[in-house]
Amino acid sequence: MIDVSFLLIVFFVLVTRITDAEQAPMALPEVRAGSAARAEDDARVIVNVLPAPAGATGGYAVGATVFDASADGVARLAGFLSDGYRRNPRLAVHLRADRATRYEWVEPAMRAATTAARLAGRGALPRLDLVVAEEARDAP
Amino acid sequence: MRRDLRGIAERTRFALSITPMIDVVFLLLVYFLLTSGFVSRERLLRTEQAPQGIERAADAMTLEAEPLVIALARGDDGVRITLPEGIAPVRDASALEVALRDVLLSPASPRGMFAADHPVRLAPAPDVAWADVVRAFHAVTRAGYRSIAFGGGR
Repeated sequence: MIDVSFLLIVFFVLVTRITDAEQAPMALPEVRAGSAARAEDDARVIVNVLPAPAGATGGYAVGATVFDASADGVARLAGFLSDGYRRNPRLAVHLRADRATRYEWVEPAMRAATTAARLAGRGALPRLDLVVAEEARDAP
Repeated sequence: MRRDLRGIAERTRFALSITPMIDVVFLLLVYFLLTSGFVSRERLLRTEQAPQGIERAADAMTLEAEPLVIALARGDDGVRITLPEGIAPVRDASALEVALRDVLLSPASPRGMFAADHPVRLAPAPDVAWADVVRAFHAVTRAGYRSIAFGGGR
């Protein structure tokens, strides 16, 4: 029993760490409870717009891979996403950005998703989901 | 003999059974790991189509409806929302939702100006905070519009 419990603990610790690696820490924009959809278990890739001081960004992260916030970095991000679209044309892009990040730094990531679907061809449709945080229900 | 039996009974009474306690503790630990890992406040706002703006190539043969442009600019006290003429000016995202719902064409309001699939373009200025963009986008979707694109803000 103890052996099995330890194995379960190790398993969940590992899973939690893998999940954390996908989701960079940031303060997501908040919406009212119950007004946004839950994430489904469909094919998706999480693009993090890494927050930096004064509403800037430190680049775009997909898992452990970081693309810098330059035209070249955005082009490489689009190439990376297009590989995903080639593997699965129904791929969903989950866009995570800090609430204080300026739109000028988020927009290139959105554009990269569109470009990626176009590069992939084969009827790939860009599915872009904006990741938000749900306000606590007891909030005023 | 009687004293020995009483001693055994007392020892038995105070013996601590460790195994079931460890089992329970581990089960609780597993339970808390499970719940802390899966209870997430993260949700999704789905965009029906990808942001167009820059990427979309113009098709000269297609006559598209003029989009309803909602401009977002950074103001002194938050975001400034500019709507086309004919729609009441608004100060924040909540008011935007109400104003857009008022002009939505539906069986309930046949005098509305725009159908639910009328193209809406959110045009944030580059320096607008992402939270304000998301709030405006959410207001448009909650008002009932389905075709929302990003881009074009200056």
